[in-house]
Amino acid sequence: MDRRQLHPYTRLLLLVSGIIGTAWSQAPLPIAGFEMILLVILAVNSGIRLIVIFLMIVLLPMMVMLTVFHLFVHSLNGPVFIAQMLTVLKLTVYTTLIQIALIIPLQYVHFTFRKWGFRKDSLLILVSSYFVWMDVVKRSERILLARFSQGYIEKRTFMAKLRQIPFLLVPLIIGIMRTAAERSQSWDEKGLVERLETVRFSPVRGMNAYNCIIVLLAISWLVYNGVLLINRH
Amino acid sequence: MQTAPTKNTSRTYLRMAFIPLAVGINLGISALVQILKLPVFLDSIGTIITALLFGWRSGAIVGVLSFAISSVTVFPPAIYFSGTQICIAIYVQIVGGFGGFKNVFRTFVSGIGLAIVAALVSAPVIYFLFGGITGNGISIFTLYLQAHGFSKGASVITSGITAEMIDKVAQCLITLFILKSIPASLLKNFYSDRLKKNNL
Repeated sequence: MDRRQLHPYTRLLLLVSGIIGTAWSQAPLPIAGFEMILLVILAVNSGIRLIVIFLMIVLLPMMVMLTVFHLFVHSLNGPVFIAQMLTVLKLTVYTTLIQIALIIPLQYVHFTFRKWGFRKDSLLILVSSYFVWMDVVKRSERILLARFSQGYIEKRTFMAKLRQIPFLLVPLIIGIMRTAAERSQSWDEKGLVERLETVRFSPVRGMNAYNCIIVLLAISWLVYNGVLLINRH
Repeated sequence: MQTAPTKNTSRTYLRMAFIPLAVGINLGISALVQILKLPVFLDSIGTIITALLFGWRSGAIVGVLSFAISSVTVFPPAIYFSGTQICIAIYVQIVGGFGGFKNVFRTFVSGIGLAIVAALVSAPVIYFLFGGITGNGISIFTLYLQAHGFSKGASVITSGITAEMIDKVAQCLITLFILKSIPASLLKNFYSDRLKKNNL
């Protein structure tokens, strides 16, 4: 049992409160502070390495691009610039919140979606979708290997593989349809949907200090911005 | 005690088995496009195929799920455009019901319609959430239009339609090519009225 894992209800509460609270906020500094806290939560949940990747490849380029474009449109016109920066900051917060909500360790995927109210076929579809990426990558690699062994790809370079995309799609989708037909028969015979309702899964304990702190943070953010919104009006 | 599977049960399980795999199609292709920085999206082929095979609800599930998973893997802003995927699925069901994918010409026209629908549905998200600018190549065209007197809303819609035109037409044509390439013996497992109306 990992005490650093967020309980599904905590994830949901943080996502909803975070989005609403941020939407209500009109001050860049508190939003920036909230974003810093979210990055810490993301680092605790997913590890420092993922945070660095997320920052360098996703968040920073997105912020820089949006900032540059907004600067280009509005130059450094004070109030308009602050309004556009607010837009960029809010987008950053929403993106981080979604990352926190949806980056779920594979062993907790089933537990999380069940707690979020998904049952039977919707649960089966969601859990399968989380694992499908690896399936598709393996299939693509098998098709590329087959084409390479038959001499259709001369060199194992990136561009050579890229040129295989049109030839990859049809066998990939045919393979997927065959697998879907076989799996559906197997699942039907085994009564998989009913079995999912009774299977034991890895639970995440919600009553620990970490989850309580996150819940307090989410509620505080919502209440703080709600009070400011009421005072503004 | 297990009962013998009925036709409806089998089709339900077929849909449940196909949807995650169709999500994988969307994810795989859009990941490649993101890595290569191509000027298209190609992120709805799985959605279109699923909508033709199983209807708009299944297509919408594929679209929303693939964008949600894409937002935590390759393209974080993807999830904001989940509504566009739902509309794509609905449009494909309607157009497919009228034989919109029967031949190349009809598919081309359907692609143009899809581009307009996708651009119109995405425009409010870009306008209100992103302030009119998403930071990708299309934004340059949006800025150009604004600089030449277009309002922000008109710029967003016009640049969106322009960008989506190539992308959505390509996706519809690729879908037609893929479905025509699938052996009839395999496709009969996925029989639907829409396939019949499109000579597939």
